[in-house]
Amino acid sequence: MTIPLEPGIFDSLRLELRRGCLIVAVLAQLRAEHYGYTLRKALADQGLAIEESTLYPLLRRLETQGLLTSQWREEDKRNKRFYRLSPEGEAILALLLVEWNGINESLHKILKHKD
Amino acid sequence: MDLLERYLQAVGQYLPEATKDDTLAELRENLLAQMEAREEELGRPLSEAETADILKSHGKPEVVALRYLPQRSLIGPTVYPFYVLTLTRVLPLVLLACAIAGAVEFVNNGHESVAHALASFAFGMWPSLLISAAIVTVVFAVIEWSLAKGKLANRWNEWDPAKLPAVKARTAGAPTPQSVVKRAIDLAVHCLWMAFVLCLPYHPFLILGPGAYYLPWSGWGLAPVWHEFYIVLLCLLTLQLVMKVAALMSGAQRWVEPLGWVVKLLGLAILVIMVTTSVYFVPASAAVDMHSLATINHAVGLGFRVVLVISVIMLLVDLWKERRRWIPAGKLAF
Repeated sequence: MTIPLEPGIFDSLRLELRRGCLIVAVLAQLRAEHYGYTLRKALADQGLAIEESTLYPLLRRLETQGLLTSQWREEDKRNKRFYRLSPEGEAILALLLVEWNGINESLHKILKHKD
Repeated sequence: MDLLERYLQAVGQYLPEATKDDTLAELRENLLAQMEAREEELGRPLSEAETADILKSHGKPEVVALRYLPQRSLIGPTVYPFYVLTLTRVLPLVLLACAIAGAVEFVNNGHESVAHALASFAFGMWPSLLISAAIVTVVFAVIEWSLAKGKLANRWNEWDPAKLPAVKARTAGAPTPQSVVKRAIDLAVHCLWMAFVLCLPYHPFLILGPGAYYLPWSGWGLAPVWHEFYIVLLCLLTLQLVMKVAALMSGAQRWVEPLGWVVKLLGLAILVIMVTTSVYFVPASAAVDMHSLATINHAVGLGFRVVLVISVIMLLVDLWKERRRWIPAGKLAF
């Protein structure tokens, strides 16, 4: 029996897949200091576009969790909030990357078996 | 820039006071940077429509603000199945309590009409159901909150596989278990049926219809056997009630099947009582047509005999089905 697909199922699965990946990408990108707009641009330039309304609250949340530190500083005559990975964030990023690589390798093995 | 300030004001309405200024200042800077980058691309200042486009793509103010708030569900996916399970257990019991209370009130208020009593029950049960559902929801919201704070996490994950119930043998011919909803509806209908039977002595109209008014001046009266019939019928209904409540409780389901057999036997006992007597209506005055009375008694007795034969056949069929369930499939092949 074939069950008809729910409309928007791909978008919903894609969103789930991206959610965790985006956090890893943001943490990795913030090994160098950025403020919201330039971070978004840097991620987009590397092929990982992320909506502002998703990214800015995410930065706040990661900071509350102690993974990022932030600092208000003047740049081009305007005050901007710069984010950077905290030492705890670096440790967590290392663990997440190990996990990510593990998943990636397993997925490659599974896909290779299938081929 | 007026549009930007209006946008930030709209976002700020939904932000907590403690972090509002900080969040808006950061949002302002990010949006300004985005607008400046767009101006650089175009080589001219942005029109109001272009500014509006940037703000629109950033998101509706309420939605943007909500994303800055802590993300927590009232009842999360870990607790939700237990919440639904509890609701399906509690609400039928509340319904049962409402039905019993309604029946008792109806019996005490002898002058109340059946339609009025049913309407009171239909409208009166909702506050009780809603209050119970609200209490269960609050309890589970507290559990969710405690889990989120890590206060209950250890206890919540404590369980022992050895305490899981034994595997239920599913054999050919065994009845398919009913869903919780069906069992709850079954219980609610049974409560209404019991309320109806409890009302019969006070409102004979419910079973005899217009005949209830005819009976007193017809010169006929009910024979004492009907009192025995009524008492045994009440015992039977009470047992069925216990059975239906037990069917809703996971720990008590092993009693459902034995109780089912007791109910069937009790049903037969009622019929046997009614068949062994031949007098169902007695003369209540001297001017009674004895021939008509004898005919009615004979007809009622015949009716009970037919019902008894059908019931015995059904019981034998049930016994045969039950026997098949316990005989290995290999021995049944013929």
